[in-house]
Amino acid sequence: MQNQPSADKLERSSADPPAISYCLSNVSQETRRRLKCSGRVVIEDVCLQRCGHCFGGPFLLVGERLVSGASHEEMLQSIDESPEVWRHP
Amino acid sequence: MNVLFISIDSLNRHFLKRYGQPVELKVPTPNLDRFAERAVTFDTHYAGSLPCMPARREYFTGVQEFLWRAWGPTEPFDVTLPLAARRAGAITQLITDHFHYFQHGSHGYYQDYHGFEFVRGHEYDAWKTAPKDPDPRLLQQIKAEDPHDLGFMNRVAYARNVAGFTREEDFFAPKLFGAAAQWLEHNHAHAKWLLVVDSFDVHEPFHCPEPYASMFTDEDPQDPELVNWPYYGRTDQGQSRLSERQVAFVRAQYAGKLAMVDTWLGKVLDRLDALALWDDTTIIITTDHGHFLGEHGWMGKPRAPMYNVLTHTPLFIWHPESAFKGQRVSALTSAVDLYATMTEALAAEVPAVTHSKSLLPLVKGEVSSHRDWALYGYWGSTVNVTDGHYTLLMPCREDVPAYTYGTMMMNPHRWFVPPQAQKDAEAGRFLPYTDTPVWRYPDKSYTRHELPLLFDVRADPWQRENLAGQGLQDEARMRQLLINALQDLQVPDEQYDRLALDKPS
Repeated sequence: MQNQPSADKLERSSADPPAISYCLSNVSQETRRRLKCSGRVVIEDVCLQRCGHCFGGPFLLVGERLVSGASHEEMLQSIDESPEVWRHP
Repeated sequence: MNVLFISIDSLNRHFLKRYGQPVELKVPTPNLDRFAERAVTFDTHYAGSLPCMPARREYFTGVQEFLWRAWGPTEPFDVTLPLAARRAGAITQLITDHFHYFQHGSHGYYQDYHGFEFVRGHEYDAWKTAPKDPDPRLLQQIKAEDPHDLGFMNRVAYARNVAGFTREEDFFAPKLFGAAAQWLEHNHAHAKWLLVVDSFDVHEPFHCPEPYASMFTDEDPQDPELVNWPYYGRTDQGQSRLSERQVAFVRAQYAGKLAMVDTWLGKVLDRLDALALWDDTTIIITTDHGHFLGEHGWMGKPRAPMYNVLTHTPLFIWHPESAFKGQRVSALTSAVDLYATMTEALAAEVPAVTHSKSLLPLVKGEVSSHRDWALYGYWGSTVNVTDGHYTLLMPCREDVPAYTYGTMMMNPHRWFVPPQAQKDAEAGRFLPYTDTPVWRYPDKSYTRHELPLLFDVRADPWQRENLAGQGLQDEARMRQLLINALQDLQVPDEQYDRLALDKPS
């Protein structure tokens, strides 16, 4: 058998906007659609292993930083208004 | 005939010497090797329903559940393995550290045994609530960010559970396999017995004692910069992002843990030798699925294509009447077949309709082939098929919902928190393998790739070259094989819509 493939080595610059991750169960179908079409780097996962937060209410991960709020829209607006805060956690 | 079933969770086939060990870490597994020298090694064995509890529904009830249902309990119409074994006159015992048996929504898997032993404390097991502030280095290594957060599934649980662990014998595999060896000592005199040993190791957290922690790395195993419980996902982005150094450390800790599991598995094999139990016992060693450790750029059991890293699994079976002792069998087999294999060995009666087909005729050399297809996947996501030569991974449409069918309202995607009421549910006799009415309710579909992926896994075992979309006859053949399999199983009509397949008339 051949040796295993190496891990991909795609490195992102620290100046790039961080990826925004969300759990499938934490969004409505409409929010899911809007996140995917938002032009951001978005990661949809079926489970981000943040079950306590997911059970508690809307949340997002900005890079590795967890953000919770009243709604995903409100959190995205907050991210848009202060991009420098989220770029350098 | 007695049955000893051993599941070693997240056991990567490609880390095992018996399967060629095509990785840089040459993990010594002398005990698995000595078992394999006696047993049949299955070369073309595949997982079915993933991950943990769906795999156990296959092992222990013979139902390939992912086409109808997600992670959940046994059903009232299931005949569980221990129930069938009881009726066949066997004493039955479960020994496990698999805490998912005891969580919300996954009941029914341990209650039918005469005895069960639960080794406490693995991963998120809700066991210890002290110390309030566990070892800060371990908290960092397991990525437990807020130890005082009171939400479900806080990683601090693990740090608290292991706070008193000082010796190798305190860890999970030593306790589990030690208990199994002791059970054999005390119970082998029963006329017939079933022992299920369900080890959560080699599952993460990849936290293990010395000498294993330093066996495959020169790093300080307690360096807080080195993660031993990485998040699932891509290794190059998001919360699962890891440096090459961190990936190497994770792999080393996985390898160390595997070496520890093997050492303690040896205690069970020693007991089988000492008690001369081989002549009247069927013994199965397998896993529920693999675990990405950087292969294809992924970590864990993520939302990745269902590559063979996760789904092509090890299986070894010892049977005293085997025609292939110490040999290999290339026939295609599936995890769901283990239910019928064990019930046949126990001479137990089972329902007329299951998805399971005993491997004993294959083991005894009475037949040379076993099944034409094996299906595998997660509920609500892609559906994947193999004939043992090719794998076809079919994407699903996300605009067509998936439906759950079951007698209990559960969370199709959010398994580890209290079940929520499914207010869109309807009831009816929807299942082809029972006339029991069940709930039916929708949830989101999610794909893992946009287009079909086809691999010739004999020529390309790491699935590097996608052959789909080239008009190959093998793609059309595998597509038809998938349709045939779905038709054989009588899956719900929406599965054809989700997979953009024409439903046969």
